[in-house]
Amino acid sequence: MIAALQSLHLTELGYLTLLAATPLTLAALGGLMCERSGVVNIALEGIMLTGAFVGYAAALATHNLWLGVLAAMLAGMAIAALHAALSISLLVDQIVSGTVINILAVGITGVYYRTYIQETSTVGPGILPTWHIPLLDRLPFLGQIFFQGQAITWAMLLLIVVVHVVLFHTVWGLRTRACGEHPLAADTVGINVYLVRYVNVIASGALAGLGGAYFSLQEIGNFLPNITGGRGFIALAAMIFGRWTPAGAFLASLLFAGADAVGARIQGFHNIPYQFLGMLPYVLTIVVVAGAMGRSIAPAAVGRPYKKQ
Amino acid sequence: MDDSGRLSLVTREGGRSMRHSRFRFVSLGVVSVLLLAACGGGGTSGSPAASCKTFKVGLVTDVGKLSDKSFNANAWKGVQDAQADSSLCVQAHFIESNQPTDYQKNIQTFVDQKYDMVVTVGFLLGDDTLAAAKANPGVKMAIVDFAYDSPPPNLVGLVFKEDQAGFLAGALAGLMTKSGTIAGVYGLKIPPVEKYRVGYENGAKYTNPSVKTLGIYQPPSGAKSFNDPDWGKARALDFFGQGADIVFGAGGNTGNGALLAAVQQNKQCVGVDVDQFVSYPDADPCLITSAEKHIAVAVKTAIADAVKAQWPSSGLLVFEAKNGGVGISAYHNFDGKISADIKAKIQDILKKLADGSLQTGYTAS
Repeated sequence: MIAALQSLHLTELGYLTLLAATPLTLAALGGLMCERSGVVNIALEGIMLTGAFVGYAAALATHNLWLGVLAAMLAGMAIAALHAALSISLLVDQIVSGTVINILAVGITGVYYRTYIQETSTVGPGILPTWHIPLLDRLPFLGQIFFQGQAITWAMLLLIVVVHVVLFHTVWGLRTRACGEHPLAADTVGINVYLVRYVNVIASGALAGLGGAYFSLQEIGNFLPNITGGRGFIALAAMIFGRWTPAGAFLASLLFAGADAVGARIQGFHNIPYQFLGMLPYVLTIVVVAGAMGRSIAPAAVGRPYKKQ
Repeated sequence: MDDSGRLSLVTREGGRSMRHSRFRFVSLGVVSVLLLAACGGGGTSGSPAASCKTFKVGLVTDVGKLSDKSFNANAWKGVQDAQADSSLCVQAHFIESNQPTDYQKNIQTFVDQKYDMVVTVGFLLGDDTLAAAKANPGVKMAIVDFAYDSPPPNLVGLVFKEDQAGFLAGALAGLMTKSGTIAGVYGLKIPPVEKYRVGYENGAKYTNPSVKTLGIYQPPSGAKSFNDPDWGKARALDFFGQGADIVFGAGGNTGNGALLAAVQQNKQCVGVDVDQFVSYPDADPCLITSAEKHIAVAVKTAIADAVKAQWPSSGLLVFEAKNGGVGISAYHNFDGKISADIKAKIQDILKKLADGSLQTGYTAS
């Protein structure tokens, strides 16, 4: 029995699932901060991509990975501030603003990559170190998954709790949700809807930017055009499937990431066509969206610009 | 390129669908990014000497792009080498493909601009290149990694016996493994990649009959095909967890991800297509060698043949151990750790592959 379990290498499966869920969860947390305040954020993909690029460039320039991570978050905040300015102050359609940012990010990062980075064949800045928590990392199964890892994955686990507490157990969180459900009512009781929305949108940029740093600074140690490869949109789906809650978003991200890790293992069984493995995540998404999506209810005012009367 | 038209289309669509379901938004975002990404980047290099008739060569990459530091990058190097040879009078330009749907369009761009020759990089461009060659008999076309049964006279396939390069690398891996398990993270399951894998696994078994081999092909994934280092790295980490101590990364940026996993976990790795010790220094600590096919040599040969009117009538140029078209790279950091005995065995295998007395066991399926 134990031998059979060992032969499945579940530890690796768990570890790889948590790893792949890291950028999804971070972006989904950013997305729900933003949307809980009433602003749609389909720009998560573009923000992640920008974070990945700026983080990499900064780490390359300063030879310091941590400054790179910081730069990725700041770049995410800057791009998110643009989204905020367009959609909150200038009342641009939030979907349009997000789409513009996604397009802008692909273009700008691609151009700067080709101009300044592609040709240099030097060693990259490397990747964030792997840390071990003494003793706990020796625990069977859990030790390898949770107690030896890299900073961004741990930060992700911590931020799930932080975002949950902020949203549901602080005055700020209450105001945020009020702005997302009924901004006029919030305004009437003296809440500065614009301020709340600005802060939340910019915070979501920091979170998604950190998610971008996962690719360039924690995993690959390099930047490639379009390195995020659509994960911002999967994060968006995870946020919705997780019903705009941090824990839900995390579990949904684990589901999508786990499908990938398990799917890859399936290729080992020879009877199953290899294309099936490529199909699995999409099949799962369809099942999830069709089956469990029905009861998912968005914040009432999300997507609607608020104009003070 | 006509991004402006697309942009306005996308924004109109976006505005209209605002009140529709959330998933419309998500899919809209995906579509708009894909649309905009469809126009690849391009670039040019050098200018020919004024004295001779200019021969214009265009190169179309696959979605791995020039940033793959191996496959596409080396094909472009072959073009640049031809350009550096002043007797050929080559003027060259490249277009990077962002999506599989770009291939046909990018080839046509060069045809429309009256290029003399178009080089397409990779098996994935096989159908589009054949169609373009048939439609434009006056334009010479060369494709890396594709062999046609009966191509039109203006089309030549540049193919390699990757199985021989893989066999050599696998033979070395079989001798170097301590755990008795070796792994490979491969690109799409297409002939050149399959040849690498079969050669690698058979080579390992040739020198180490009890060796266990693990491997995975990347499933077809559009723009992420050969271009998903995050996925490749995760798969390699999975194999290390299952006991492998050497990984072969044979799939562009996807394979490069596997090399990164080996660096991170202090395992050994084998690069692909070019000497990745030189082209991809991030992987230097783990590289015991690279299974090489000399794409730059092949591309330059084809261009020179075209300029000098020595175009092969068979429609095929084969590069193999016999003519120095494939091989393995220097051992670099591992030179001191690989015994003279092992080196002699590898040399011997190379000699036998070249004279035909040793077969890799690969048969086209």
